[in-house]
Amino acid sequence: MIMDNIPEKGAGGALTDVVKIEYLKPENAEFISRNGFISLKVLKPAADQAADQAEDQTADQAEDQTADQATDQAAGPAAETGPEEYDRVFLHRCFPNELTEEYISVLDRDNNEIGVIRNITDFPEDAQELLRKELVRKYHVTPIKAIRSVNEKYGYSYWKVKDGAGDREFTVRDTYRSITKISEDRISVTDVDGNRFEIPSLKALDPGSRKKIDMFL
Amino acid sequence: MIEISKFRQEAKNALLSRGLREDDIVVFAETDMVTDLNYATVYLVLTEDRLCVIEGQTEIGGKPGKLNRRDAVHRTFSETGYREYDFTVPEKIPEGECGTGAEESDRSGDEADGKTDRGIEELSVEELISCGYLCAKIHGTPERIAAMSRTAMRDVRLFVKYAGKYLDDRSVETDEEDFKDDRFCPKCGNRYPDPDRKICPRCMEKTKIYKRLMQFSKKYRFQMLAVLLSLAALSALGVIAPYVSTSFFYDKVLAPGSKWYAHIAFAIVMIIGLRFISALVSALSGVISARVSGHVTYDLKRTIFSAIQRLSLSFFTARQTGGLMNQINNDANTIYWFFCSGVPEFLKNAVQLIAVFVILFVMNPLLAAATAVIMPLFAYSVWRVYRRMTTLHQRRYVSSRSMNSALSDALSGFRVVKSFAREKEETERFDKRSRRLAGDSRTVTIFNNTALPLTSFIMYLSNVVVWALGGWMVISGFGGMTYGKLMAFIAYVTLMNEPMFMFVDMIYWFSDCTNAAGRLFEIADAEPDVREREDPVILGEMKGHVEFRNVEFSYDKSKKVIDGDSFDVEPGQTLGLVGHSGAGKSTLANLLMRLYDVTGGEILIDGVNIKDLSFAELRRNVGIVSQETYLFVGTIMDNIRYARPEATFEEVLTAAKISGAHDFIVKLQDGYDTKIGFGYKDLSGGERQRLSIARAVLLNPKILILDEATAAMDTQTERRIQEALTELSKGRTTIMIAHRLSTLRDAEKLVVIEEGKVQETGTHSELLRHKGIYSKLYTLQLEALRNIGVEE
Repeated sequence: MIMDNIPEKGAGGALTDVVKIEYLKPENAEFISRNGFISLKVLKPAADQAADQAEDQTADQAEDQTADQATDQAAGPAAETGPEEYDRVFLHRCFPNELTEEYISVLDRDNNEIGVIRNITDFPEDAQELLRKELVRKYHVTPIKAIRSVNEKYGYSYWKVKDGAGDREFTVRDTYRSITKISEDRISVTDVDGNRFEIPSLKALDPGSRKKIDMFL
Repeated sequence: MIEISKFRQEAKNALLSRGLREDDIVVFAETDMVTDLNYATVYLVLTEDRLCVIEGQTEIGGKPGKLNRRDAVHRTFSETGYREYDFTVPEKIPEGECGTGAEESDRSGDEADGKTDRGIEELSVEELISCGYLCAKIHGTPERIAAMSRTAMRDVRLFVKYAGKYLDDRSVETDEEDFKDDRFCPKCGNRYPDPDRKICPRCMEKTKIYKRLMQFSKKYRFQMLAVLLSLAALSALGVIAPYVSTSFFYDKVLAPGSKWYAHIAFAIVMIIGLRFISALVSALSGVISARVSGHVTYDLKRTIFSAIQRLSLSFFTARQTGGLMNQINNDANTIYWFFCSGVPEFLKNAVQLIAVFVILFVMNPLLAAATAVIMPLFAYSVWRVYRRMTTLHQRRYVSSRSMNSALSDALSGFRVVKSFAREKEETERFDKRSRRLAGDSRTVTIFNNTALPLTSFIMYLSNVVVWALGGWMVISGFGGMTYGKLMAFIAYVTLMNEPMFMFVDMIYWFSDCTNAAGRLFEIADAEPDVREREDPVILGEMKGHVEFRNVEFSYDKSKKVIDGDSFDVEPGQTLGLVGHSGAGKSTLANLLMRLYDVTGGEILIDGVNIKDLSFAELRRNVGIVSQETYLFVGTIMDNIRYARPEATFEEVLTAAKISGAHDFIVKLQDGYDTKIGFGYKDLSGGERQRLSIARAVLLNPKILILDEATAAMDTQTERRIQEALTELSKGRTTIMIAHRLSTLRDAEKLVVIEEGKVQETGTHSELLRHKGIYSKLYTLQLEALRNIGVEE
């Protein structure tokens, strides 16, 4: 009764055949740095581009309707080719806890997805550097090097920690829920303002610090 | 100067050293990170022609520990970086030419939105995961100017707002709301740990809370007194008993030549009698406590619950319902404990401690003095052991909570578990947590079993000291000590142990209670946002004319959900609201119901502002069938009659028939008396919706709001009910919100809303001719339906 003899893809064949995700590759996408901001040139086949436009419209406007049916009648007129340019794009990790450089969603100014990068190492060195820098910037969190004290009072906890540069204090509401185990060894703490702090490795923490947070883990 | 962050002395100095005088500054703000995302102090200064960024570190001097009083300490700022962005506007701007030029610059501001002639454009905050950037395009080049943690983000956002405003039209007008910084405790300057609750745990006036609690306790003074009396009797007996069974027995009964010598039977009867009376009083006090506890917790829960019911919807949307449920249950218990257990126990123990001490001193001052020194020492060491135990208990509590959540998760999601054949994995998941709990429980038990004998041993040691000292006294005859007296003395010393521990524990209990009481008073003090007017206008017979006049609404101040909407419906007509999900249609309906109040403009019924009507009149005349179909536990009959409990059987039947509910109800074994709701008969989405329509129909309101009322039904049922509803809407004002535009075709007026704004108004055919948003939507839907073979 447990799924022993079902192939890995699931019983119904490969899902990738059903829906196409726009993957950005060096062949169809070029990331350019503009004073540290990323802009993007995307080459798209003409038919795809038109279909995309139609999809956008329908998905927004009529929810009970499937995109496929609308494409038939909307695909007609728009047939322009040529690269599409975005003066500024934003990167978003799809699986921020597990994969830092794979499956990166690329969004435009209105938060619409332009495409997904499978792995940034697919791109040439300089683009990689640009993308990596942007990701590191976006996902910057304050690392906790040591814990000076954690005081619990009336359901809130007051933390005094040491980060790379010096001592820092913050307040956490609903302590248990604000602590996330990213992995067995990696912990993230979110304070009242939404600032995130991270303990990169519990094992590497000194025993005194470890003891202070043990109760919350 | 628009002072967004506090313009402190050290900032003033830093700016002066850069040649920036206070008068030159237009907007000032402070942020806490430099662009490489390291912490720092960064001043953002906007002057008439420049944007300056001064980076540095602030040293906080003064006495350590005084950190809390932010302004009382000495601060110094040392600069590490300075940048300025000259954004002098090119000369082609006609500002200099026409001296008054208000409209001139206004216009250029509007037109030039995003063009280069402002020098700076696109001043914006880029939100990252844990921090953010202040970005700008200066003379066409994008740039990251500064960074911020989430804590400083509010100030930087305001900087963007006011700097942007100033750049647009040199306006320095400020909105007072923006400067109401209520995130900090006014007393100590620390952040409130919870932005929704303006309570600073450090400054919470505990005495005030206790005073208020005591005021509240007047209500329960008889109950408290009863508990107290029974406890007093109990402890009085407790204090006498040792004397009779030790000192009296050994020194009087067993001592040859005394008055009671050899009256053993009498002594035994007395000892037994005392014990019996003790048992009796103890049982009695148990009964009293039980009665009082039932009464008081009931009363407290009712108080909290009715306080909550009084509040507006916004209170609930801001909090988790689960949290509120816990609050009602736990807080009532905690406060009950304070009144009926905490206070009397405290008094009892205090009295007992004092009484025992007095007795000890009377019996033997020297030995008593020795005890007074030794006892607290031992109590302290025992307390240390206990504290360790508390930590272990807490850890076990967390494990048990995690196991429970796995358990309830798997049980309530059983259908999903089964249908994906994940039984094995669920068992493992449960097993893992269960094993952890078992481990923690084992640790607790082992600790208990080692620590408790240890603590008894420590306590025993304190007795040994008394034994040794007292024994020596008996032998040497020092201070008139006898064997019996010593036995009594030791018995009394043991009596002191309990109160001693009680006081240690009480520290924790009282802090729990303060918290619970704080929450209770917070709810009791919360003002409902939507309030009824004291002398409401009585409309009498309502005609049903509804008008929205420049209505504005926002849930929080940052984004307007409804932005200046105006439209009206004639009595008896039907208005259709069209728009994407999230456009604000349901919000408009909620505003008409006064579940929220408008933040701008007004809503009128028959020319009267709905804020002037009584709740009763408004809600009798406005009925709503919403997307959310909540059914209470009870019979179908109860649920339909919810709004009008006095409705007759026939009325209920008719209402159910109109809403299409009757047909499925009669198929149920118990008909209208079928129990539904949580844990009873499960109804389908469509059935629930039909019941909620019946509920609104039965109310028979003058104004009917149908908010996606037929969304969960199949096409056939929907069409049938739609017909009935069309029939029903005759003669009453109807506001209809629907995704399926065909259902709105017959409405007298359609209003198309996009992002909170009215975009188009007109009838179905007018709007089709207009070829705007509506006609696009309509053709798309029509196509879609045709494709799946449905002809409208």
